[in-house]
Amino acid sequence: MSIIFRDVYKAFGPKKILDGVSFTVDTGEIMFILGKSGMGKSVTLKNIVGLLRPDQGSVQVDTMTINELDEDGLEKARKICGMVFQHPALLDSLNVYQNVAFGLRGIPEERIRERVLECLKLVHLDESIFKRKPPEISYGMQKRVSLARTLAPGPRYLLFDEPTTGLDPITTNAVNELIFELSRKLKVTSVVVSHDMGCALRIADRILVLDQGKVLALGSVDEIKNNPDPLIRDFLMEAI
Amino acid sequence: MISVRGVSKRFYTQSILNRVSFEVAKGKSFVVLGQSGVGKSVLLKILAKLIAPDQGEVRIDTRNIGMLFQKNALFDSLSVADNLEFPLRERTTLSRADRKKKALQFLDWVGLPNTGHQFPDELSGGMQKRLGIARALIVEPEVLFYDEPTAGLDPITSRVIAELMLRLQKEFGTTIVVVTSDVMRAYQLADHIGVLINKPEGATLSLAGSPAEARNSKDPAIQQFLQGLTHGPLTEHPEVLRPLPDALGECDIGRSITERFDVDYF
Repeated sequence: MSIIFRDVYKAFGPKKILDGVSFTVDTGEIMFILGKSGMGKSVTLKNIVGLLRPDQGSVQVDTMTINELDEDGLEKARKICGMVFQHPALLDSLNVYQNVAFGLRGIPEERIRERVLECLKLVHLDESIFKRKPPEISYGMQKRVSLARTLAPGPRYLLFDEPTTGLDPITTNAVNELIFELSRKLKVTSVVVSHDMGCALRIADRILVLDQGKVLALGSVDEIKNNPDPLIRDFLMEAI
Repeated sequence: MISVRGVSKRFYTQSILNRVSFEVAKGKSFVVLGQSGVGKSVLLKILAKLIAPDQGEVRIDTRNIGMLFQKNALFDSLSVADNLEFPLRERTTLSRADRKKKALQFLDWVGLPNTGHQFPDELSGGMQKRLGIARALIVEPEVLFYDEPTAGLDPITSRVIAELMLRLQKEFGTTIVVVTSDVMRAYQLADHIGVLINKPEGATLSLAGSPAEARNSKDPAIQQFLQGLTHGPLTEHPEVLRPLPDALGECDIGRSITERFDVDYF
């Protein structure tokens, strides 16, 4: 089980976003994809879940070639790939329980309840929060609930789109610790798109740096720390 | 230049700010740090007189004030140049030719030459921020409020934007107040730092001094924030960090604008 990008090209009009990108995410690892804004990080993530298709090249998740799947096939693929959006994207009119249970259908109510509680416990929340609506809880809690909702169907891959961008340092570290803890506990494969070198240094197994549509560097935390490239040095300087 | 004394604010049953006081001298920069939902933007909107405090007072020596909103609040239907000319048309008596000249000059200053004919949604996030800064500065305000000026930008773009803010502050001698949760930017921008400490009775402001003094502060809450520690005094009351529903924030601001709108002021 892994994610394999083979020579992926993607352009929007004249603008080349991915210009021959190849990499593999191994089973169970936490891979950070770093880069400045507009360098194709989110486009990479969207190619993994088939929200975008490459112009050339292939994207493989498990045994599925994502770019060749039809809508039914993609639906199956998305069941094993849980996407965590930058903003919590909770439904404000539903309470926490209903939000987490949203993607659970076709199973008995009792089992849904167990699963919702199980997922909330994974993000350090409990049933006392079931009846609260998203606007009544803090932003940090909303991020946790959103993560619990993604975990509910039992994905084998977790894809995080800028999980800590714009957060204060305390919430950043709490979210970062959760990503690490969940990836290890649930033995899922995680891909984290981020600007935050500090977070990457703390919890990544490997770091991929994208620049101008190409892979600028791919390596372990230590390899990236010692990389002399000026862009990577700039990112390192900003890491707290 | 700016004097804030004992400012408190509640929204219905929720206390947001509790007796916040600080001063900013002319030409200096004051950075307010704090967690999401602690009341940073509410404080800034009180300073800009977009929201009235329940208690306390804000004194600012000038009526010439500018504000950069977190999401820039650019006019999507106006070109980049027209966005810059808009406040000049509203607030100055400059001729059309002079307005055009000034807009071009400011575009150059913020590093956006040759973009005047483009529209805001054709610019990247960092470029939109530059345009927002240019529009806030073009009427040469004596006091400028920045609401999360680098939120959502990558760290390298953030640093460049902060360098621009500093350069323009020196150039115009502007007094600035910045609210942010970005510690690196606070170190880069601040003459003085204050940290909002969330408490059930409303957030209080701890004055941390210069960036160097803040780093060495003995206050456990300040240290917890600066280091991003997940356990400490700031995380004892997570229930008070409730972001205000947008509608509430806006209706309050809407009301205060209709009550207090003063053409000279904004």
